[in-house]
Amino acid sequence: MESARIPAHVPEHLVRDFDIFTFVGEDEDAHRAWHDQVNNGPDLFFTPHSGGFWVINNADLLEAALPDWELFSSAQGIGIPPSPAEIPPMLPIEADDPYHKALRRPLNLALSPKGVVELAKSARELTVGLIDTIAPQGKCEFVHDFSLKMPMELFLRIVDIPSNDREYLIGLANTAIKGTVDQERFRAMGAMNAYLSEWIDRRVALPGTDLMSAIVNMDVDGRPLTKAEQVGYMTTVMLGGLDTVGGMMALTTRHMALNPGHRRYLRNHPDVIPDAIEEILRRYAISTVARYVTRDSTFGGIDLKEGDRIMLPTPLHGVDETRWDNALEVRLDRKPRDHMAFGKGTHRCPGAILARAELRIFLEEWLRRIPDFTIDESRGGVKWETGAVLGLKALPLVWNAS
Amino acid sequence: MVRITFVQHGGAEHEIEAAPGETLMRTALDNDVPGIIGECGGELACATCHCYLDPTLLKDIEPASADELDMLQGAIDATADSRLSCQVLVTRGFAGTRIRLPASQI
Ligand code: HEM
Ligand code: FES
Repeated sequence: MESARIPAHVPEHLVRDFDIFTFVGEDEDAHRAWHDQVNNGPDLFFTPHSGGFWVINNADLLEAALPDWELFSSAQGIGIPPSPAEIPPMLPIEADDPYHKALRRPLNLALSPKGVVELAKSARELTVGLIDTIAPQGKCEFVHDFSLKMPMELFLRIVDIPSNDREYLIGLANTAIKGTVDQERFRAMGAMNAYLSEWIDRRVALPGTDLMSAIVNMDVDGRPLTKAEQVGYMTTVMLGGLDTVGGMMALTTRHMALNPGHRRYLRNHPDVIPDAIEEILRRYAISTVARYVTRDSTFGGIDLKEGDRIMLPTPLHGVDETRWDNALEVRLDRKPRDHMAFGKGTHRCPGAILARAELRIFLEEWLRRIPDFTIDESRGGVKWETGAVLGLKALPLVWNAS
Repeated sequence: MVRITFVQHGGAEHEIEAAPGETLMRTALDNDVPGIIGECGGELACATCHCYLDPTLLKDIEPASADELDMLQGAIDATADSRLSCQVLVTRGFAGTRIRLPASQI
């Protein structure tokens, strides 16, 4: 451990050797690892990795920290580690109120219930198209063949960019979020910014009715957005809906592959799918974000200093036994209220309604066409992905296609 | 406390005790009244707390802010009686009122 990075105010008994990028191996179940961690460790601990971070390790503390934007600021970066200065801030996520709230308005409207009615039609069309190609094959690698493709296709439709560049963008997005080498991640982010920048110029010159036109031509505090703001904003909207939705789809599908009772029940009772999705979001939450401590304070009984950084891992919330009984058990009728999969407070995910619609449509259409399927261990089985967004790197599936 | 009634689109009614000063959205959720989601928790960011108020009551209470009117454009089946219930505070004047809910929030 790099003890040089442990500040003087951090008590030694709260220091842990925790690296979010190597926390679990690719053959380990990440939520079971969080289950061990949250139910055995201290409620808050400090790791010297990634530049030095506090890590919240308790459901109640997570729920208290997420909405407290005055103590836990996002404006100095929510990345782990924080992005270098030349990368424009990701907006609206790396901004604080009231500026942040003003930025959210066009996004809130575009992803509102009414906006999602239209987007859900595109989502269904894309979902059915992809599954119809996969179903007769009797096998697929779910991540490559479905969960990387579908959310990117939907983003491209929402912003009205032709899908020719899909594979290029999927590669960049994957490295930008999942790259294990900092320099590679930042380089991919730079390339993505450059790509979006060109499209932004076109939408400013000739606005359409798409989401990118609405965002890049908005006013904030009575002035147009700067170029850096436009780029930072579009990058977030693109990345925000990719890995997250893809990761949730892969984890949902793995769960269904391992639980024949659940998949049969949902196939026969599609009206229960929304409740099932809520329960899956609780049990398999995926995002970890970071904050910056704005003042010396006591949190969870521990002294924090202004300038400390702190990680808020949502995956631990749903597996904390002090918050949920038999937390690891997926009960389709649990109807969990206030899970933290979409965050809480002013930064709560604006894409939640769309994400739920994508997941619902996916389960409806998949189970209708491929009702029974198992994990293909002969092709290496499940490979987990760790880091700021959990998910799967590989999910090989087989079924009887006749 | 004042007694108010939430009326589902299908006609089912939930008569409950509401505390003046509390938002209608919280009141509905805390009393397990179905038909209101309140996805964003009252941040005026989701329009899933949509309801219809009695037009006479609507005239007596604090009108919707510009931001609420903006977000109401994202609600499904909004009318002139529409409000986002996370922005509406219960007052004594709510006694006996009937709050109608839309067919669907999403
Ligand atoms: C199951 C899928 C998803 C999950 C689990 C998820 C999770 C989250 C979480 C936890 C946050 C809060 C971050 C924070 O507090 O710093 C967030 C914010 C955000 N999400 Fe999502 N998200 C999902 C889907 C989407 C989709 C589909 C979109 C866009 C189309 C999207 C766009 C965003 C944006 C722009 C923010 C920043 C909001 C702000 O800072 O005000 N997300 N998401
Ligand atoms: S609860 Fe989201 S707008 Fe009212």
